[in-house]
Amino acid sequence: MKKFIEDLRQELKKRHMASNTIEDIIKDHEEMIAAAKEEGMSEAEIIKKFGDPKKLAEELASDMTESDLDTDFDEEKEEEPASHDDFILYQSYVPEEDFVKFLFNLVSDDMTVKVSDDESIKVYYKKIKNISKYEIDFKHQELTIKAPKYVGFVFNLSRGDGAFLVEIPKRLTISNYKQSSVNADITLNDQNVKIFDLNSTNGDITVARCKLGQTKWNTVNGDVNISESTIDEVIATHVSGDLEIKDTVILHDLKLNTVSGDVKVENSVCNHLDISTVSGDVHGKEFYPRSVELRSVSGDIRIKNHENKPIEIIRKKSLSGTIVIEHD
Amino acid sequence: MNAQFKKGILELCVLSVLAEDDTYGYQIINKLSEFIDVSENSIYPILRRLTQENYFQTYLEESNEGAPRKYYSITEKGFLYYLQLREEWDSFIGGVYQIINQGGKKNEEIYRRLKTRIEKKTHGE
Repeated sequence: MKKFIEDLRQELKKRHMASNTIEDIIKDHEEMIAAAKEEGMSEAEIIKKFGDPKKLAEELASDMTESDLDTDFDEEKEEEPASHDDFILYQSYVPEEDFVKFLFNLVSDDMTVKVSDDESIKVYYKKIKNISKYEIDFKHQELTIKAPKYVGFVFNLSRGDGAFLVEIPKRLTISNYKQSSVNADITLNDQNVKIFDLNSTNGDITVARCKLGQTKWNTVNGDVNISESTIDEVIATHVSGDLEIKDTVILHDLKLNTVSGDVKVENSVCNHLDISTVSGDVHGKEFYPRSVELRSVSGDIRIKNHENKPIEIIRKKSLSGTIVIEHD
Repeated sequence: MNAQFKKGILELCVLSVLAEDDTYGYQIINKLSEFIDVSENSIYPILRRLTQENYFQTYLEESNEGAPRKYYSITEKGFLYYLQLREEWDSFIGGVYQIINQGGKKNEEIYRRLKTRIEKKTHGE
């Protein structure tokens, strides 16, 4: 069982855990293994019962708080050049029209889209080792960035820290933004997007100061954060990721399907709010939908507003969830 | 099974074991694996996280056979959380059973009815 303990220690170190946290976890495991041996379990049985130390480390790392992380590691990191300078220019493209389309298929590289005063579209990247294997192209006003496809099932889902940065001229509208990715975070600032379509598993989605048309996203664990934006319509699916909307106008419907993800809306309006959830709650503050619809097992809708604008409850179908609208 | 879903269920299982009695790490795993197929690497992170969130406390107690063992003990906060999860689970699984048992519980019966339905359709054409 020494190997299990050693492997576990290595995997925890890899994830930059503080040494006292690692020792704590190792101690617990030495104790549990000793208890298993005392019950007469064989090495092989114990190995089977304890499972893969890598998976264990991954799971533990995803629950870590700041005090569990190795702060020395952050200091080392600061010696590297500042974050924006890390980016290397891959290619500039000159757009011929006043719109652009994005098609991104990524695995774990983060994507940030920003405006610039420049007249060309610029693609930057950082910490991506095999950039030559990526398919990056600009044709017929469409920018494509595709991560290399892996043959078979050798899919490394561990979170890399590679990233792309795309800068586009202010005057451009994004007529279509389509991205699918697994672990990538997506950040979109100051953009005008007509059709916005995202599919993400774990990555977070952050949208600030944007004008979005038809907006659709599916995410499993990722959180979505929208602020200071105007959106025509939102159709979204979450599993456990949370949604936060702040200072945003949604002209038509906000339709969300979630299992346990919570929703927080502040200082925003929408026409119709349609929520299907198992246990996720909706908390609104200064949130003025014209009408609401709730289907849930235990999820609630709670809205607290200053102004007493009418909010029509069109339908409520819930086992134990309630809709509470309060004014102060 | 969906990983997130399984995690939530395992969390409820761990809470249920500790709602009964203070228990040490390995024993918790044993109690669960008596009934379901789990390994340590999915249980220990739950124990650790719920301890950090003050749902559990730990203390050391000497064992007969060797080194002292870390016992996990549910707190009041943890017990309230357990009750809440338990209620959510009961109402959810209750609903699920209502849905899947609508046509009866026996597979043979369901199959027989499906068969007659298919036969009717093919004769009708």
